[in-house]
Amino acid sequence: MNGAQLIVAALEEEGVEVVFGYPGGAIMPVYDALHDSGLRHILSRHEQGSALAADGYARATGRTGVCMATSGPGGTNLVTGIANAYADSVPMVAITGQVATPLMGTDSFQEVDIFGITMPVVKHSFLLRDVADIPRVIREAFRIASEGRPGPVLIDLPKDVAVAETDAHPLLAGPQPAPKLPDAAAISRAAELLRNAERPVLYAGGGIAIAGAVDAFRRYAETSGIPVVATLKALGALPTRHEQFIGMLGMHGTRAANNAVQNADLLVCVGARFDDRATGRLDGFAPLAKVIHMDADPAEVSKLRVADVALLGDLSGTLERLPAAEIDVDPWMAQCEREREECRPRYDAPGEGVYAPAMLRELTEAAGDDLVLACDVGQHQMWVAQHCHIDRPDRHLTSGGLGTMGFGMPAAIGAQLGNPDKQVVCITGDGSIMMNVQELATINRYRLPIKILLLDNSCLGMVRQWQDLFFDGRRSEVELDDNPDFVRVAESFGIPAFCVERRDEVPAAIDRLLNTEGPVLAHVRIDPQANVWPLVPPGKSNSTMMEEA
Amino acid sequence: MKHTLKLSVQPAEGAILRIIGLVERRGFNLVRIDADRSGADEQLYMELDVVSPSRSIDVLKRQLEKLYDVINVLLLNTNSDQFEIKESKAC
Repeated sequence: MNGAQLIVAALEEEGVEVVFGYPGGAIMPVYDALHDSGLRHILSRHEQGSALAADGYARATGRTGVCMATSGPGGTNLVTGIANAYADSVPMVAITGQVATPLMGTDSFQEVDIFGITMPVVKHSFLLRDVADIPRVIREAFRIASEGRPGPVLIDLPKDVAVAETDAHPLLAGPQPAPKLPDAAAISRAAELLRNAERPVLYAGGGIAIAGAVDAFRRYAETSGIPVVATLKALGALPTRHEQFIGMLGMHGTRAANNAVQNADLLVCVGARFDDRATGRLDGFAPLAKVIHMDADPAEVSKLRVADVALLGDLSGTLERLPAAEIDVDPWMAQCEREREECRPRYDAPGEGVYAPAMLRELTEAAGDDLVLACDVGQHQMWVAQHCHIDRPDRHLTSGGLGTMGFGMPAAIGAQLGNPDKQVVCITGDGSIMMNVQELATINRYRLPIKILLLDNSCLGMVRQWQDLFFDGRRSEVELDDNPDFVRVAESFGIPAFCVERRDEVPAAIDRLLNTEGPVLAHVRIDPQANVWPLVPPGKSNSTMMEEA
Repeated sequence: MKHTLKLSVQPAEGAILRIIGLVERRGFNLVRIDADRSGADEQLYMELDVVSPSRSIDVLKRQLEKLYDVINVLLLNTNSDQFEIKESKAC
């Protein structure tokens, strides 16, 4: 067998079923080896689509996503997807073809140093110079990608190594190491802080889903009775309709959630990282609170906010060992609930045009329990977070850390391939969809039954909103009134589509979107002036929320 | 404040770049680097002097410890303990 065949065999040994990629010169030996393998290869129409689809697959299944591309531009096109996985701690293995080792460093055709280019955005990377290293490197890559705090691992494979003959065989996956847990002394200190708290808040982060700790988190939250706020990536850790859920915190969070944190005397951070979009101005964040910080990653503790107690290790095990607060949280919970009810959004906007927040809410009310939402980036992403019912974090795929416009459609492709029986809806905007519009061809190629809800305000809405608010209304390069006819675009890719322009068309449109067999796109025209409210201005404290005038 | 970090590193492709890149990316300035792989054990030993006006050296140490090629990191001229209970500045 040659190196490429060994790579493919090793991927199979790791349990890989689906690979997202795009062929080219330097990676041709691997594509040749795919012929004789059981791997299902999904051809995207741009390598960024491959990487983001692998990311969406990983988020929706909990398994490591795999993508591959050729050398040079193939590799550089993967980079945004790799960085996206890095920013959101998504397990991914990316394999790039490389020019043959004698040509490396000679500026040869389609040669770039992808190993060097990706170094800041990978958890680890390998340059395979010896065919005999393949079994070890593949095994290590999958272990590193998924253990502890997950992330992307890059393997660069020179063409001469891919065609070299070898007697090596894939390594068998060993037993998973026992999860690490915080020491008993730290648990005791945390328990003491909980005993002395009067206004504790659980600050839920994306790590809960990553660690598979949703059930443990829910048990702890319900047993302790502590109010819960969530980051964008933790929405659904507690169902958003749960009575203890106060809301998303941060820049576009709810006033109730931000007030809960600002008034808390103890913040129990569960797999979150004090990201600036969640905290606002850091020195004004949770000013009265002591902090218990639970995380799998030691480097997150006291990075931005000093932790009074750090609980390092597996989140489920940590939550199971943490005693519930032996305090009466009912008065505090009642205060948080009251504030939540006072700031409930209204859906009776004036006019006859489609009101996007209301449509999104109705969509999740009409859809079944198996709904997976894959979001793009911009105003619609925040409206989804604010207005959709989200029951589990792995049903809400969103580019939180990197904020990658163009994430939605490839992520939906990955999610649908990983969950053929679930209903996958991609929520996108007229800016975002054009970033990876070519992936409509992938949806059509595999007849994936993805439903695309395109909210079109004919502008880059979030940038336009910021220019209006923070740049004296001086709009710069945000008008997209020359967009293509999206219905005809979708139809030209073989995907049926229809247009929605008025509010009274919304119920029928949702019904048609959800109940059309196969893929479908709904092109929804919305108000170009609509904004996302509330909003914490950049650089301000979360206590400084702007509301709709 | 200047800090000195002493690292033991598994010599692997890109290991030195990975370490230097992380230090600068995380907001520290490198003012001295020593790297030596001439010993009988063929291991790579590095000493870095770094300065930052505001970032925590303890966090940088933990970020370096996460790198797969890094075997261990010693912080030489500091008396801080990264896991001791500290009073929150905001309290």
